Amino acid sequence: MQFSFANQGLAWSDAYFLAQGLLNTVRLAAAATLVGTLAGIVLGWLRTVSVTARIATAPFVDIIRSVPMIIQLILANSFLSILGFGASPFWFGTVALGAWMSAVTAEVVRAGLLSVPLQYRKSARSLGMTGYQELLYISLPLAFRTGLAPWIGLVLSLIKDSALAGVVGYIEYMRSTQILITRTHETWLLLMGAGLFYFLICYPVSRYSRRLERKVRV
Amino acid sequence: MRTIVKALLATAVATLTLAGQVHAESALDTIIKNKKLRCGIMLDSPPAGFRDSNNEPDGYDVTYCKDMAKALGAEPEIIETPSPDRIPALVSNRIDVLIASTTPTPARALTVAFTQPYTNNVMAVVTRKDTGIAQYSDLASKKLGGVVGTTPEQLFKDELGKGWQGKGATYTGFASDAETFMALQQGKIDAIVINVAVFNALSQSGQFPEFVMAGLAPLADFGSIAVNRDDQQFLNWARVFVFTQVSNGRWAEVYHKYYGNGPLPPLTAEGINF
Amino acid sequence: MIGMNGYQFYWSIVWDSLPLLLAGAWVTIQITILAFIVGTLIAMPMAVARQQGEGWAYRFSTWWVELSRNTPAVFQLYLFYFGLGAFHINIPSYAAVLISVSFNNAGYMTEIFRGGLNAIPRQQLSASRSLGMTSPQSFIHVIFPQMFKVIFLAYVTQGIWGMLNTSLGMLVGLQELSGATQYAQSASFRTFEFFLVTALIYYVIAKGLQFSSQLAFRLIYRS
Repeated sequence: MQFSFANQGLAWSDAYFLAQGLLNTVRLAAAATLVGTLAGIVLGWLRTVSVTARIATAPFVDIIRSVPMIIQLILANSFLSILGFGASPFWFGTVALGAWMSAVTAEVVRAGLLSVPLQYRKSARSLGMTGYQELLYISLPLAFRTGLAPWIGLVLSLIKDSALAGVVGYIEYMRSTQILITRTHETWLLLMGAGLFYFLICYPVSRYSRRLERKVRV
Repeated sequence: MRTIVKALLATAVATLTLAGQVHAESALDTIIKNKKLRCGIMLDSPPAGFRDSNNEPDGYDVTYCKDMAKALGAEPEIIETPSPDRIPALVSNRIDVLIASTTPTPARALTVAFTQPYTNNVMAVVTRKDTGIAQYSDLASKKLGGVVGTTPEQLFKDELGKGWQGKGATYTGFASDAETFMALQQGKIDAIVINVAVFNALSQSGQFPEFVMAGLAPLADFGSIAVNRDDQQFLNWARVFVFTQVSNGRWAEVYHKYYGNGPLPPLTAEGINF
Repeated sequence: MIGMNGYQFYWSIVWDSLPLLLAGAWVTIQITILAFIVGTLIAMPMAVARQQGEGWAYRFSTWWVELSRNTPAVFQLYLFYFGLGAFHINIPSYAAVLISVSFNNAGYMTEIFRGGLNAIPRQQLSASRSLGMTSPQSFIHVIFPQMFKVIFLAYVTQGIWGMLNTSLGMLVGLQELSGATQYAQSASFRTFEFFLVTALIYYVIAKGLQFSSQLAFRLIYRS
């Protein structure tokens, strides 16, 4: 049978294709948020309590904030590949976005911990709490209060940056939109769909975060 | 607290060191063992690689992957590899073979091992009806476009350097063929150089009624299959595969299916063997 | 040349292509500075409008701010590049990147400026008006100079963010630093080496922007 290009318009099966892309965006963003936040809390705490750790990790934090995400994705992809990891693009994306998330979360955690008044911590210790108890029951909850709103801002940035993971072969929402535009030429409809998708996730969350910020400040 | 700090740092270092594992086995053996052939293919360059109306991979390269899998008694698995992922995917053995109409060049052969050509793109100038371009030499003062890292791009850049720039020609690189077609249709550029057969397929589709061909371009663009540079065993096998596809007539069949019923292009350069 | 998992690093190929990368870096710097200036010029009136809390100017700038902050930068770029193209409005990739990064910058800067304006006592405006200045005059000569001092750090950070966003030019075929790298790696297949060097160049540009703006701050405010 002779092959020929049909002028292929959008079909219902494309909704399924887009839904998969949507799910992939959510999966990647969730995994990277989880990994990055946990690593970021540990990193931020390390950077607060240990001068050695602060000096040792400073280049990491600095570099990650000065290099575009698209380059970080490509570098994580090729570096892990050279090391012999045969993982899927999902994991490479998680590593790259998670590394960024950990670096920026660490700074939020550090700022949060430093904002805890010294008297609070001292009085906790004088009440007989150990260093860890004080961290767990006094410092972390207070740091959480000041850090929550900025952290939400970071998650939003991460969701938006996940739209770049297509460059290493991960088919998230933006990439699936682009694939369909290529095939169907329904540029506006599909682009609007993509814009709306990200806007509907990010807008309510960013409003909530701004309200939260005002509440904490009061 | 200090001990925990140290333990954490030590774990981080250990994880990084443990990371690399070495594999010396030929891909040939793992394919036979796992009964699975993983092909890296670019799915944004129709008709070599694209997605059909169900968004499933299809095309000349995809068919070659399926044929290769059949010859190995394995299941084909198509893995889409965008340009920056091609080499990392091959180096990390995420794919066994790269079937992406890749032009073999000495620079690239430093990194991967190429088979003899399995496809040949005879290149033509394609433009819109309203541009007045009739032949290759008319391009000297036009807005040109192409896909980043391809041989037509190389050609245009050479010509720009050799005097086209002074006559007003410009060049824009795009991420994929599909984007180049859109740019030409939308008037962002005036002409591109693509495979004659791709043009035939495009004009049959009726998708780009304003496109016309304006003579051939001085360019032969062979495409080779690539495997890991160190994997001589798999390379030997792949070379036999490429040879057999032609000798048993399968190549002609696949070529006609995706590139139309024109004459078959030569798979060797005149006067030399690969 | 260190081998890793059988992969040999060939740095000389990157070295040979360095002029190409540096030409790309120059485009990156150009667009970064232009988009910074354009973003600032748009954000200043928008921040004032946002402070008013009502009227068409307020609604317009609110839309701009929310759109630019709540959608991916790559979406914004595609919108200007392919979206306008579908209406046969064709802009070259250089302009598309410049416009989309300026659009993004303006949105974020508006909010940064608004925060700065809130920190300046209201009476200053009425005081300068009573000295006979017009409203734009009082903003330009009295309010904005103080505002920039307050928000300087966040403002420069946004400028660097804008620089990072120019890397999306790679996706629309612009030969800025990332695009030039993409081109070079495609010709030689040395993906890792090229992008590592490029990351380094980005770092140097980011630090350069940071230090030069700090220097500018000291010169302007003599602090």
